[in-house]
Amino acid sequence: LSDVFVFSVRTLTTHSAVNHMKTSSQRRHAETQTASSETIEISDNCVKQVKKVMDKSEDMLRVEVFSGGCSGLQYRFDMTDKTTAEDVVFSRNGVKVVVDRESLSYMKGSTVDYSSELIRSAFRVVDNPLSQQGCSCGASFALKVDNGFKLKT
Amino acid sequence: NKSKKFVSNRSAIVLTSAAINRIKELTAGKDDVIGLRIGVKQRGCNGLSYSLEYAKERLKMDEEVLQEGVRVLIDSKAQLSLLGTEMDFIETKLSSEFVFNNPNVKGMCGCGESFTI
Repeated sequence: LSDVFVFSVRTLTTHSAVNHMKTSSQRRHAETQTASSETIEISDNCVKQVKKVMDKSEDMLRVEVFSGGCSGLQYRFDMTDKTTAEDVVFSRNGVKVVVDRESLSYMKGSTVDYSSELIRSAFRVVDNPLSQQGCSCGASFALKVDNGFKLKT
Repeated sequence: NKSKKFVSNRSAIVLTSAAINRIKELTAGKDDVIGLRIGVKQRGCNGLSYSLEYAKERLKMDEEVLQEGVRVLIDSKAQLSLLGTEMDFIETKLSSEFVFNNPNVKGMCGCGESFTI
């Protein structure tokens, strides 16, 4: 029981830290990453593919989480060249992946990947530590209920 | 018998030109590959999920579909669920995938990989 308590306290702290940082990062136009727990990984294949589909150097891969899909939540990918104050931009080897803060809270710690299979080649989010079970293709997922995570209402 | 006639007169699945081009691309330069094999796997949120692999030989129970020089083999377990399906290939900037437009499908998952019959 104490473990659960400690974890939820930690989650709360992270959330308040994010809120606290919001004002300062708005000034910096969301160009930098926040606390280390609020980060995502970008795989080699993802870097390669984003470079392939980029039309201009400002293009970024936007990853969003919204409700839908068979498991309750799903990922959506898009190419964009605009960011807002709510966005966090991650970069690796000249490739940028942008996630808005709310989406990031559902997928922090996961890896953005591009998988090439015979039947399907697509961007996907893998190893999401917050997701409990996913759809076979990884487009949709459900959150774990035992990690102190509260859905925003 | 009407239904028997129906099955024997037309091929089990129909390939769109996009699918044909993609399969040609995939099998080009692979001398030991005779085509692609479609199977179904028991996984995914809706119970069943299609799988695709290179076929090196035609198995005894495979249903063979030949269209414009492209060969697609359908695994015996997949034949029932695939009958009458159109196999298409959709390519966008962010993804490229084979899509099965199946008239027998009752429910589908967000990405279309998993389904219920």
